[in-house]
Amino acid sequence: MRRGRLMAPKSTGEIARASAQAIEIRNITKRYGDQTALRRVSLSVEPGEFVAILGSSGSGKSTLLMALAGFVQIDEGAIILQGRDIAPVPANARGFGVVFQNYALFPHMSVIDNVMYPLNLRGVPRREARARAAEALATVKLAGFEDRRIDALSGGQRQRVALARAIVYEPAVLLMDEPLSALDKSLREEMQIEIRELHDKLNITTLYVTHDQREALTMADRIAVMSRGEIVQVDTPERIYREPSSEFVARFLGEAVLFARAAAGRLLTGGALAESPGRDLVMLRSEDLRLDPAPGEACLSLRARVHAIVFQGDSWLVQLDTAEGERFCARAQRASAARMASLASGDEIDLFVRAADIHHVRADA
Amino acid sequence: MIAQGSDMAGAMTAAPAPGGEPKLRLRRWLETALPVAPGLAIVFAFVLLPCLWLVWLSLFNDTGQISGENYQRIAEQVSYRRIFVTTFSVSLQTVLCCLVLGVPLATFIVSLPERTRALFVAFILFPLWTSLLVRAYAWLVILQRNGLINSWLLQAGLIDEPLPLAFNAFATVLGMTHIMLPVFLLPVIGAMSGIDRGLMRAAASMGASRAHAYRTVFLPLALPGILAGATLVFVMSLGFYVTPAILGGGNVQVISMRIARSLSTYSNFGAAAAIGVVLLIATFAMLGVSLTLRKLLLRR
Repeated sequence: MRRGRLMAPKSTGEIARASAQAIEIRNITKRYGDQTALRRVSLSVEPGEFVAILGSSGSGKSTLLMALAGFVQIDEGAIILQGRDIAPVPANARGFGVVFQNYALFPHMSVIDNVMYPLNLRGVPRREARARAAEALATVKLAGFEDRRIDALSGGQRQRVALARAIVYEPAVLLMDEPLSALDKSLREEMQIEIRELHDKLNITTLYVTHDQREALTMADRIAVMSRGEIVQVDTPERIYREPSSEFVARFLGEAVLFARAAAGRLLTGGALAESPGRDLVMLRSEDLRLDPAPGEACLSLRARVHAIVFQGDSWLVQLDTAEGERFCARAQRASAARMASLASGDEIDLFVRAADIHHVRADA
Repeated sequence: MIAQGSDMAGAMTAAPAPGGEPKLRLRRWLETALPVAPGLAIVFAFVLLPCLWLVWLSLFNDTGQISGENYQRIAEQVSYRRIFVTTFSVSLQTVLCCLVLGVPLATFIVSLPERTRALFVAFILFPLWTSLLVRAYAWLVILQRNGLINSWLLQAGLIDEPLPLAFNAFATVLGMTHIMLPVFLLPVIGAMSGIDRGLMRAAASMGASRAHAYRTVFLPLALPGILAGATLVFVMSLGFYVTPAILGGGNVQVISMRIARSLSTYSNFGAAAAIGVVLLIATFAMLGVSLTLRKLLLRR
């Protein structure tokens, strides 16, 4: 399950590691009046696993996280930690680490006092608390900022303080609610990798809410995609991107070209489509459509008329229409300018797709 | 790097100015001075000038000669000292009552949903529209020897003799607290409603009980408002006249009464002005104490 591609070298003397806990969510339902925010949500997270909860706003992802943190009382279901249902346990007795979207740092305390706060609550002697807080700050690369005021920190630094404060007491589970959404893009990408490295180093079970598919793909061992209060698919980033189970997931992550099974049978030539009962849509990723057949591999071809060609920096976007009048997009990443210039709007061309890149998904109701 | 660059740019544009053309400097000065001039004029005419005039008046004795007599009297006579002590003590007790009643009340009000909160704030402001006199007499009706409380208690057989509830410091502080509580609540509610509720959640997520989070996060953040409210109540209480006069019934002598007597009974403007000056200085001293307290409490 762990991919280890971001595995950092283990160094000595860091915040050492509480044994990671598994957490199991069983059939959680939460209603607000006649609105159902969470509908029989189940998810089991392995010890030390990093699971991203991905969804658009209103999908219930934050409600799910707040239910885990204990700030939202669930109507039905159970949250199992160490064989015990913690749903009735109040937030302050759950012992989770929570990183909030707006950081929620205490503005009247210095950086070190913020990080020491949970340790003071636990009756850790002052000297030891200070040492451990300083260590946690060093872990998030904020050594030397101990006595700064919170309002003297940048957004990225505040984020790090919030992280240090959430890990300093070695919680069994770390919950993060869109912690990077307030940062600019380059800093966000840097922090994504840093947080993932930190997770690997601390071996802490992590649930991470985000609306950013790229962030989820970058950081998580597994992604749970949420829509309208339900988890629609849970899988590894590769599988969720390559083999989405439903039309919703296919459209939510990356660019999908979708054809009805019958139409695809007519449009795609040069090979037979696999049978896949219950999955009545055929899905291709735009970047898997090629201008030339892949040498030595079984390819199907698709005849289409060029509508528009747009240069987008890292790739060319080609809008096309099928013979049956359906508009779709192909993305050419390594095509030469000369090759693209040879195409013109209105041209009939053949596109190729490897048989292995063709997937079947369930149509949304 | 960027900050350095802009600093240098700032230094470069600023450098020629001190030795530069005097005309330009005058213009710059006028550009900043002119917009604030009307405000300064009003402050001078209606605040500073009357104060200076008060000091000037206090320097004349009742025969119209310049002397330090008025201040000497305040320093030497025991009755004056007692009046100052009473005034400060009654004001301080009012502040304490406002703190004890007002902080929990403000906490409750800011915990309400937006619309209910507005309703409660309106309820708080409502008494401010009624006359001081009416409220003082209303308290008298409740507190006096044969007033509501005493007659109930007598009827219930809980007491044999009416309790001395009116015409003392207790009644005065009660009446003043009633009047000052809204004044105290407004800055406190303002400060408390500015506190991010997410901070209390964060504290809870780390294991803090409600009470602990309130004490370590909420109260410290509300402190500037609480101090502002307390200072306001104290300073305003120093000048109270009607409430102590009615509810104190002559047993509570405060500064404003002595000033009134100096003026109406003895027509001694000098003496009254001197008391006013001393009160003003005392008030500034209190503001200084409050500011120092604020600095001490908010540092760390």
